[in-house]
Amino acid sequence: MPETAGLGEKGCDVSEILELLPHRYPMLLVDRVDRLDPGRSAEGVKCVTVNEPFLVGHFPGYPIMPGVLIVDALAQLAGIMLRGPARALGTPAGERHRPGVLAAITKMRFLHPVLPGDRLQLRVKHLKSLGSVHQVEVEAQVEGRTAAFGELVLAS
Amino acid sequence: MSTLNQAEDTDAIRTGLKELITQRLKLDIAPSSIQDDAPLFAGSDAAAPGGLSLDSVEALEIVVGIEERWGVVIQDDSVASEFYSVDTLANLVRRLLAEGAAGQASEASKEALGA
Repeated sequence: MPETAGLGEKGCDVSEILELLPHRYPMLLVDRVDRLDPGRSAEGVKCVTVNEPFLVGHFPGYPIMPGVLIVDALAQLAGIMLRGPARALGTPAGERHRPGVLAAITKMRFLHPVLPGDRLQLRVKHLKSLGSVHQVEVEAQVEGRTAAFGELVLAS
Repeated sequence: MSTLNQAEDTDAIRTGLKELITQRLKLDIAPSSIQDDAPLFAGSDAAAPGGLSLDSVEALEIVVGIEERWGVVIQDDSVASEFYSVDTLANLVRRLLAEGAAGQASEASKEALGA
């Protein structure tokens, strides 16, 4: 089975992401969802450009994506994954959902700097839930190389 | 078939739970200072002293720790009453271990019948 199923039934384009996440400019850090297995796992993309507002000050003359924003991109994809089941069940129009929020960054490693032009491939996998608290394994790659990985806890 | 260690009694499970809780949550207290019947997720009051006031993230951490240590699976819909004290958690672990052993035994008998 191909890794990238492409858009369609299993993924989300930007308009669907805007429905699933409350985040907006400049904090929406998921451009596309390539694969969505609601409640279990998801893969998505964040494309980093030199125009990112955060690169103005991080750092002048040496633009690298802040690690905490890589974490947030992964947390946002995890939020989409956790929201997935609600969408699959059909949500009443106009109903607002509480976003998944970070409850803990249990473990996180940053292996390579993420630079303008990088296409950040985001992967999240659900590990364990207890009530409204969800443990998620996360990884961000650039061209097949792991830039960051770890474990987050989201509360919904 | 690996035989489940039936010898691990509730006392050992209690001790293991206290170690797991202090280590995984990096609590600066001695494992033995946690009382068996103290509420883990509430503070102390007159009726139930020694409460640890743990939060939901820490509860999830304990669940993951129990699963790793004893090789059991705690379902998300486990009753909240089982997440009260070291005592109630030890009973939960013992029950899950017994269920696992029963499951293994029935699998083994199925295999025996099939062969």
